[in-house]
Amino acid sequence: MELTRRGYAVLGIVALAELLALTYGARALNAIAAPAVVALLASVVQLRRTDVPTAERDYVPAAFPGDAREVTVEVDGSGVARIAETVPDGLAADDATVEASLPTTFTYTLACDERGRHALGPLEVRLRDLLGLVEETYEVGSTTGVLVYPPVYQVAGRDVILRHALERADVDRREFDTLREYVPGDPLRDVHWKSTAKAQDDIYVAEFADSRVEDDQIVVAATADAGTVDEMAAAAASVVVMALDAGLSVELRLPEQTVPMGRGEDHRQRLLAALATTDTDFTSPFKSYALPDGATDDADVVVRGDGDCVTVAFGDDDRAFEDITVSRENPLAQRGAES
Amino acid sequence: MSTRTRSGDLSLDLGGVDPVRTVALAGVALLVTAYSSVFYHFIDVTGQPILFVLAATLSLAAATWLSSSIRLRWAAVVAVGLLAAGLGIYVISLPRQPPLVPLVTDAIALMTGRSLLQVTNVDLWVLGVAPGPLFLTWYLALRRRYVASVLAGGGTLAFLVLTTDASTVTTLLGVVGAIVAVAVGDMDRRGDSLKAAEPLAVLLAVLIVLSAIAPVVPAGPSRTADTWSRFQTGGPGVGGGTVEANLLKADTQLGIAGNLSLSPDVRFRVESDAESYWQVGTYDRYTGEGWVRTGSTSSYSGNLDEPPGRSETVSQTYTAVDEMDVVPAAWKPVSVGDDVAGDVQVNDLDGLELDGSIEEGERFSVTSRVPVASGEELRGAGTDYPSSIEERYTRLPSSTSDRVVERTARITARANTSYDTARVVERWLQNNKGYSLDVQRPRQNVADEFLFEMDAGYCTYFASTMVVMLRTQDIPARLAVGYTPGERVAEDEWVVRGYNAHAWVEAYFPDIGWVRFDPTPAGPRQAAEQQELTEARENNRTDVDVDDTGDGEWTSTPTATPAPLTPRAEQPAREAPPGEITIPDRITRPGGTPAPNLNLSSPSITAAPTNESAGGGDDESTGPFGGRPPTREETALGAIVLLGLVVGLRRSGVTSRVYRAIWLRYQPTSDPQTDAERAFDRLEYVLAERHRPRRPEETPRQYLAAIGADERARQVATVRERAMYAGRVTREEADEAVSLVDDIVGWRGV
Repeated sequence: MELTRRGYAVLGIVALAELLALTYGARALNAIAAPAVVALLASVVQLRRTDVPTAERDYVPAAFPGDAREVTVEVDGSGVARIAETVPDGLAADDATVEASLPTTFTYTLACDERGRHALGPLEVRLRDLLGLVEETYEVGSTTGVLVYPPVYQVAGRDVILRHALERADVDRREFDTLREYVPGDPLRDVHWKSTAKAQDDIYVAEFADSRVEDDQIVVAATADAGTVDEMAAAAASVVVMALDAGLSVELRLPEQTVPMGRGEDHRQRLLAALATTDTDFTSPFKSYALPDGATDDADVVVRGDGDCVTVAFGDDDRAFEDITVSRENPLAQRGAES
Repeated sequence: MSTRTRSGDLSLDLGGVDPVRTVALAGVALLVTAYSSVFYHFIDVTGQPILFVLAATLSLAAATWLSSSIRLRWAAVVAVGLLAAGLGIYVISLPRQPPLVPLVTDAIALMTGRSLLQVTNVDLWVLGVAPGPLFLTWYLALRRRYVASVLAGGGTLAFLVLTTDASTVTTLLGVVGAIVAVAVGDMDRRGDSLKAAEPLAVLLAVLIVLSAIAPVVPAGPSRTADTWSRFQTGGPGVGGGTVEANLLKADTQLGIAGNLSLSPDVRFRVESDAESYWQVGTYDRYTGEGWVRTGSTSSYSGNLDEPPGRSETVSQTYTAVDEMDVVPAAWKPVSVGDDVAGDVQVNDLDGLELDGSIEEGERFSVTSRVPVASGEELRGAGTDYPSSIEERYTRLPSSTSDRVVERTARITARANTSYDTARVVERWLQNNKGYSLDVQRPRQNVADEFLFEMDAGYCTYFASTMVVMLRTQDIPARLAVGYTPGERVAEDEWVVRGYNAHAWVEAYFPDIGWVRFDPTPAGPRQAAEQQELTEARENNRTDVDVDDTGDGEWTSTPTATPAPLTPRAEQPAREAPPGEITIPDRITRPGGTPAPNLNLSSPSITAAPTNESAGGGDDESTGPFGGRPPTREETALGAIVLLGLVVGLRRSGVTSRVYRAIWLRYQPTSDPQTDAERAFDRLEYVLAERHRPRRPEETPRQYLAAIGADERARQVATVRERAMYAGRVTREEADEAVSLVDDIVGWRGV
């Protein structure tokens, strides 16, 4: 239990009153000092009798960098509290502090800035007395993990990847699937001229469902030197998301772990989670952040950060990731990271 | 971030008024009221409160109006500007433009316990200073900056506490307001409902009670008159107390005390050319409860002004028999001997004050010029008073009642001159009021109380009342304190004892100066003094006599009848005025006719006006309110305590338990059906306490069987069943059920 700033001020008033009374007579100073002393004592007693508060925080869904998440916290107990959330680096919240009478529920907006698995909390609850003269600080509520995926960009060369990875000459163009916006690298014959003509500025290309692709698989291996791990994760995430979208099964090899072959929403989340946490807590000097020997040999796509830039190799076609990035817009943004 | 909205308040929201904010603002208002009441008191003592009320209202209105439109920074500029402008106007209004340093030292003197009432133009000071804090406090409160608001208001109140002008009760009220404002202000900010303030009400009750009984700060040195305020209670000694020492220590503030006793100890000897009252000090400002000397002091530097009219030199040499810390002098002193000149200060009223003290056995001399004027001259003096005198010495608290004015006007209806008026008032008081040292001190407005409610008093009462009466007739008058001449031991030597301490009146006459009047009846007082002295001698006290006292009064030989210089020069009014005005007879005044065994030439008696702080002889310490009705402020505090008590009881569940106990034992009679049902409810309650509550699925019969209830209980259940389901129950059956339940409940506590 300690005095708040206000408490120190009241204590100072008492001391000053005593001093002035000693030096120049009591006057009516007792009417100031006595209530101040009583208030301080009452505050201590009140705080002593207050129970330890408890808190519960809602589950926070995983997010991409730049996303905002509403976090709701329920704090149970009694008395007045100043509640502050412990927000780790990589996340940010401007308004994660509230002063309220308990029990209370409050909500704040969490800005997700950096890739990684962040631990949100515990809550710092400064329990105060009614007058705010003394406070007791409690750490309540467990931490909540917040997973922030690497950014996912739209990359070109879906066909290229498919060709390279699957050694396929052509896509069966008969089965029309969806329309999407043109990205550089799309073959001109895929342009859907009808829709393009209707739209003023955009060019649309047709996507074709290819039943043969569904059985096919690619292996993506990713590694990086220090300093480009984040970019590597973004590149690998973009590539695997694109590959999954193309209907491929994807296996991802990272220095710490290998995510086995799979497909579908859950698999995408597994892949993104693996990429979210890769190298984030790589601190041991005895381990190097490198793929096991031979991991790249049979990989279809190798993403490699060399300290300066990140390259994506499709077989022997080795390109800088920047060059194949079509748009920094997240292709999953519409669908939501979790959907 | 969104916190919970104030849903709890919606039900309490009366016509858009937020109850939490209202309470917080009420706290601020209480604080504002506390310090405004002190300001108001200053104005009330010195002048017209209308202007102050107007200024305060304007400040608050401006704060209300501007709170929504101007920013905090500009509001602070406005408040500081108001304060600076007010102080500027005040400084400009001062008769002499003081340099900066004395202004600063004056401010420090105020902070260390000098009452603001001593400030010369306190009304202007208040008018100048009050709007700034008022504006800022209220503005900040309306802006929801409650803590800052309390800082502004509390600072003002604290300043008034330091100047001794805020009483304990006023201060406590302000502090309570401040606490409410801060705590409920926090709640307002958090969006709590008013229910959260319940513990606060309990805290306030505890806090007020404890603050009233527990001294937390030390009494500290008894300087000036720091506990002079009428609200101060306590202190050592009850009633009586030391006597004339209090007069000597009265310094710049003189309170009206309760009952007192007299001290026969010898204080000093004086060799003088003429008999006189040995004046120690004068007071110009009447506050209703006491006297204040305004203005500042300066060191003595050579001769002082002589009185404006004819005057005679009276040289006095004083020998301290006991340690002295005053410089007595016949009015009006013009110079002091070199032996004390360095320690003497001269105050604004031309009185002498002493820094330090004069040791036992030390001698010092004072030269005075005593005004000489005949009754004829005084009558002809007219009313052409210097404006500075008129302004300073005719002021009365605006709360002075009309009946004082009317009574004085009636008494003096036939007096045509100021002098006659003064003589009539003096004589009227002597003849109509008794002398007593054992009086209950009036709570306020001493003159009014003495004039209308009291039969007797001592010199302070007489003198204060006379000054007030003269001032109602626009005659400049003031209160003087000091010693009566004392025991004459030789032709030119007097021995002065403690009980010679006295208060009297001085009235101003143009071109003559201050002339002494003494409205206290002398006879009974001298008898009281003599009795003290006799008792002390019987007890073989050695400090009541010096070598040459006690052997009978020195009397002049018949041939030397009027000594060349007697107080008659100063008191020409002793001659009976011509018969054109009616003056009550002088039977009770032995001063007019010589009588060998009394101190005849000293026509007045002395009692000790005391300063409550020094004597601690405060009759208010005889109970919570000293037997007087509580003031409005005390009532307000009491109401808060009561509220806290009620809330506390409710919170602790005492009220509901008491209600339950009563409900269980007393059943009012209604119609038979209701009675039967209630009887069963009571039965069920008491059985639940003694055994177990009835489960929801149990019928009453099953329940009674399960707990093994006796026949009486079953009968009550039967009656209730019939009442509920058959709707037929007779009066007798119902009464039977009720009395059976009464039996079961008994008086056992539940």
